[in-house]
Amino acid sequence: MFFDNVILGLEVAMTWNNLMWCFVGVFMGTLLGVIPGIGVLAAISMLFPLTFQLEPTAALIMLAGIWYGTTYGGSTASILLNVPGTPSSAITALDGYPMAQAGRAGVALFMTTVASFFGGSVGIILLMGFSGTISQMALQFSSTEYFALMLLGLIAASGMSSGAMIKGLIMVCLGVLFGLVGADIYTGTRRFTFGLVDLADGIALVALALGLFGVSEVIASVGKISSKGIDPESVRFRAMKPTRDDVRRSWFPMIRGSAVGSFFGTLPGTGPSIAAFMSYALERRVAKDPERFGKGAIEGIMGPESANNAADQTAFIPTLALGIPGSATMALMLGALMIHGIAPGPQLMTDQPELFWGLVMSFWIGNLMLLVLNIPLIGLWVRLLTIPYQWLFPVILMFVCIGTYSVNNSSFDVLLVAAFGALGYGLRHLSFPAAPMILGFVLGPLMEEHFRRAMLLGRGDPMTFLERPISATVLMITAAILLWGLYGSMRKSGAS
Amino acid sequence: MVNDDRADMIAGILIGVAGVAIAIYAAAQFPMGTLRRLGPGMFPVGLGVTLALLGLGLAVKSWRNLTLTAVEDRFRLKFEIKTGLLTIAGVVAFALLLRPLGLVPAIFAVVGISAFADDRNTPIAIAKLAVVSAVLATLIFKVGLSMNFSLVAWNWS
Repeated sequence: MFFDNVILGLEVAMTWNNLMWCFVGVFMGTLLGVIPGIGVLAAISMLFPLTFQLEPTAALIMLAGIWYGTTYGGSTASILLNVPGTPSSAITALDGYPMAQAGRAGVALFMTTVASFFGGSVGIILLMGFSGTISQMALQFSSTEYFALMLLGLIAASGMSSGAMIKGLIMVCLGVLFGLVGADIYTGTRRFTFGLVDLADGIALVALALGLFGVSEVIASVGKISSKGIDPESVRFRAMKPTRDDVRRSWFPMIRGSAVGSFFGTLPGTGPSIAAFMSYALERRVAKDPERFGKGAIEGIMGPESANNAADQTAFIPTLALGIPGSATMALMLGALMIHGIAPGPQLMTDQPELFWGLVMSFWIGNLMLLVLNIPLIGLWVRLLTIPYQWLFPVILMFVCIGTYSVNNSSFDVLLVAAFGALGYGLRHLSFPAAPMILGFVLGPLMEEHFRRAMLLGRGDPMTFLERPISATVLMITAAILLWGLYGSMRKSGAS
Repeated sequence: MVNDDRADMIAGILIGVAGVAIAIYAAAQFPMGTLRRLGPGMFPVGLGVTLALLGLGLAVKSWRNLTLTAVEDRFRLKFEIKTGLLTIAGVVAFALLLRPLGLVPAIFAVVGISAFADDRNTPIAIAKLAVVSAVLATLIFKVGLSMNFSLVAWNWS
């Protein structure tokens, strides 16, 4: 059965069409990941419109390729410029940049590619092994359980993000509010449209994501990023050969990093950034000579780089098996599925095995492509990094505008991007984390739907959420996270 | 990222007020339904109330901090007003010009306006950049993906 599925997945993933889109995804993802100031979310939402013409499997393969491609690319900018291309590779800069300064940029880039591949592979194996079991379990879930799980996801996401939990919660609520705009699914009542026809179908996910992560990111980066001279000799092919000592030191950090990353990838609210951070902390603790860290210790890049790539892959477990995204990026993936008319959830694996297994097998191919491609292409990425940012950002904005417009052929959506860009920049400046808003936006309407259905099934008694054991347990965990987070943020404020 | 307690307090108050307004608006505009069959109003009202409470919480928390920190220890918020305005203006200009004038003028607008946000860009460099961007976009979106844009138009309706 399992092998049948693997074969089926390989058949789907190996068609020329899907191979090509997988390549486009990882290539564009790496490219955008290399450019500082474009994170995973901005990269995915910029390329999102391109996937609308594709069939769902190809679209998802490409989006996933962008997702793990940016993580690969992000580390390149971290190592060479000390400016993380993506937040999840920020930690890599701590030891990667000193390595580059010591003339070992080539080694660092090569070894991060290996670590990324290793971590990614571990993540994929876990994804293949566990998704089936989890979705089997989830088949018995009703709306009550789904509501509880989604609530847990939202609360955990606002608690784990940087900064005060209360700000994360506010962002979640604002996201849910934006998600509610448009016609109500049960009654058709138009909510918060203020008579605007353009809002009747709701706010476009792409407009929200590109405003929050594209435009506001650009505003925050202009004038702050300057390209530096990079010695082309240090990234020549010959300079990439690691020493025997490098290899010996790398094994255990990779294994530990993959374990840490796989664990944090599946949890709601945590993701590759936290996984990378935890792995770095762990490596420092187990090291015999922790003072080497921060000065170019190879363990300091191998652990985090395998952790963030493992987390990238295991994050798909709750998203695909339950239909509940744990992070903003996964919320975007889910949004893409829904735009293609596919209902996410445990039925996905049984109803659309070719989509699920095709996607999973494409992860292997994509990661292999990255391994093979990245090494010869590093020279290209380096040259890309020498383009001054003051020329790059107007072009980024142009792509944002065209991308948004092309989704619905709507100029109104482009105006929304401008509005969310301004809002996002303001909120970012006040240290409100933006990622929980996307999660709230995607999960909000689903939560309302499940809440109303659960109340209907429970004959109008709210106790139904506490009478069912799974939902009661999940809600209890949620309440614990909430109380712990709020207590912590109140106490910290008193002390500072 | 900076934490400014005064800004947090104002943000908290604003969010609180918005929450109350959302709750009242939703309660007035949309039917609440019964517990068994919740109407379209129930969820937004609950959300408004939650937002109001969270906003209040943030305001109270930052107010407590304000009384604890000395004036000179506070961070100062600094917005890049010029960058923000030019960037947003560029995007808005694109939105407004795309239908009436076509893709190329809209690209000139977004690139031309936003590029001024960085002082290192000279007018000549910006002009070159706008032309290069327009060519790039034409090749990718028109030639490559054959999307439905007119490059130049005259269509003020």
